[in-house]
Amino acid sequence: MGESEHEDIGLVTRIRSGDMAAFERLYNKYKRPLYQTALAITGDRGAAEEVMQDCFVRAHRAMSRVVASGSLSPWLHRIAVNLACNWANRHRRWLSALDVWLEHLSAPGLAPEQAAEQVEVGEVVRQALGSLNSTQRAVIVLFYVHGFTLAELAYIMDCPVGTVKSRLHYACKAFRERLRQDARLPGEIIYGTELGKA
Amino acid sequence: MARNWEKHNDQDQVDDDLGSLIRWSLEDSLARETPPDDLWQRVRARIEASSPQAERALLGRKRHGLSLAPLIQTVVASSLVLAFALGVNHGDTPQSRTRASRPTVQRTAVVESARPQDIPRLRTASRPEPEPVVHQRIGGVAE
Repeated sequence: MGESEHEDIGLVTRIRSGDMAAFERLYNKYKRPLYQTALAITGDRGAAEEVMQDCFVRAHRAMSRVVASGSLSPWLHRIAVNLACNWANRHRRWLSALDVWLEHLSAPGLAPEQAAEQVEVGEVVRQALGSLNSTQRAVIVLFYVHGFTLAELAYIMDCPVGTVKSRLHYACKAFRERLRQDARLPGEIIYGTELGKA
Repeated sequence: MARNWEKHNDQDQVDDDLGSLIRWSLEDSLARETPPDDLWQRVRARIEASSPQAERALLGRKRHGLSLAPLIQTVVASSLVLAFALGVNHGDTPQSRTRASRPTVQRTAVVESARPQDIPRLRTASRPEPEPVVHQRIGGVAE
């Protein structure tokens, strides 16, 4: 067990005894990945903030019931993903705020044509992701961006590992299909190995 | 078999590249996203508002509110009774006036103005009477 997991177990004990500073430490530890996940699923900063608030309020209430045997990250993500997917399904819109993320893609040090190319690729990826449903977006962000394992994803999404694999497969298939349909993205960018170096 | 294996490997390679594309395009942009600084204050305020002490205080406030309720009910009920009593004493509320002037006169007028040929229709409209059963014999003996 790593240091982070040990710390989480200690925090749970302290939070249960009413230590608010311990809960603040837990919040600061996981606020960024949780916020990013919520934002990736909802595509709305206000909604992501709401999800964060609800997530931590629920987590605090449920702290007495949580089994503290390792990292709290999957458990917190489970709450956040559930709330964010519910929000996304209610509002059925996404990615208006992703434009803001992608503005950052053009780093200041890049030449204008390189920056333009990156923004173009980012735009295509954004649109491809936007065509997926909230569950597929969640599975892609959690797997590719946050690096959760399939078993952790199964816990977060409350389904068997086989279902996670299937969701990931179909999400990637739909994503790839969208990219293929977009003429702006050359084939070597979709299938080439250059991206690994980028 | 070998072809299948190659195909599978190619598919894995494509998925890896796709993963790289997703990581590359989202990771960098997502990494810059942080929640606003005041979010913790909002979370904390909500937690404290739902803490046992706050709930107890809320319950206390509710109890205080509940203790006022019988008094308010009594005042309202007594004022209603008083108003009713005053109305009975005066005996000529606008409601009673309208009620007395309305129905019988109109009905009488309708009946009196009805022409003789309208009477059966009116009678039928107000109260349908069973028609006398006429037994008709069909056929019979030809003359």
